[in-house]
Amino acid sequence: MRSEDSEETGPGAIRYTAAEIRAALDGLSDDDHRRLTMVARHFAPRTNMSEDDLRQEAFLRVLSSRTCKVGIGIVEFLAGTIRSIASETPRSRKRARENAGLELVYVPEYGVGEVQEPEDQNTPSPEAQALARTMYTKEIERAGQLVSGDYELELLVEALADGQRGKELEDVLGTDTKGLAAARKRWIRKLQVSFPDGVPL
Amino acid sequence: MAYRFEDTTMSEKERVDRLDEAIIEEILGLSDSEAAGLVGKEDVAASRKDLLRAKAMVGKLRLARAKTDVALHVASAATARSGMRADGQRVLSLRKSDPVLDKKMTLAARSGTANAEADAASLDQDLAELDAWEAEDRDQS
Repeated sequence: MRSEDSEETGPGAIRYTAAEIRAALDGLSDDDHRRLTMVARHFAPRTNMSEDDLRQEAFLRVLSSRTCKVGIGIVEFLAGTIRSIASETPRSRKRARENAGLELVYVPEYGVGEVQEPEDQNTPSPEAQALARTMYTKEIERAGQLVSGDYELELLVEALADGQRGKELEDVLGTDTKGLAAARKRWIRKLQVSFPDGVPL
Repeated sequence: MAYRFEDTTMSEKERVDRLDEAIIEEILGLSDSEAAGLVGKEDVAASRKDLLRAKAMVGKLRLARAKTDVALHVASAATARSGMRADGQRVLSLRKSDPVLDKKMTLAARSGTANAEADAASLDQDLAELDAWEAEDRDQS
């Protein structure tokens, strides 16, 4: 039932067993659930799913179809799963669910009547590429809307998107390590408190 | 022109990826008290409920798959008359407890379309996994 769709792929990688994953999920603390909620809250608007549904989908995939390399924390793994779901187009999300055995469907013989032949699943169609472009454009807009009017956070988001980190970020913001940490926390707080249902588009 | 389209898409994807990474890094780096200050008890309860629901759904899916495997396996055994002797009582019990499964198995046996060799190992594994899940659920309830 479990398949290798983790980003941490590698033929020799040692992975947690299903029982170990279940134990790790059972061991999640209240604060772990809080962190997962924050991650789901951020990514939910991208998926057209509710925060609850997205979080549940992540739990489902971790329990059924994704495998986790030993050494990756369960919260980090779940956060990555949420992000992975959010990066899928609706069609590939449906396909991932089917591949995980999460939908039991009857498929008549391909090529008979109106049943189409299976698609080439590795090459994105022009339609999928267009959808992806729309999604990324909207996400950049959404990130901008979140911090609109707050000059320091606008700079922070722009610089992070450009790939700047650490000292470079401090220079852009004209601050030190402590000031940068405070700005980043303020950014997350703004997301969680100002937009508890996700940032609207 | 196509190249430019692709290039723009990649650039936007990279920007979104970087922001995603930064947000996740920041959230996972919050202290417990900071996390508690941002997300309330209701959300924690909702998250725990989501986990329970997911476990129940996966359990049901495994049960459904095990039942399907049973149906295929028994149908094959009935036509091939070979090999299978393990789990006979469990299969019988499953059939008694589930009229739909019983009917499917009867129909499958009549059509004789299953593959006993391929399904025997899978059946044993599924039933063992199912036992583990049920035991775990009992422990937690």
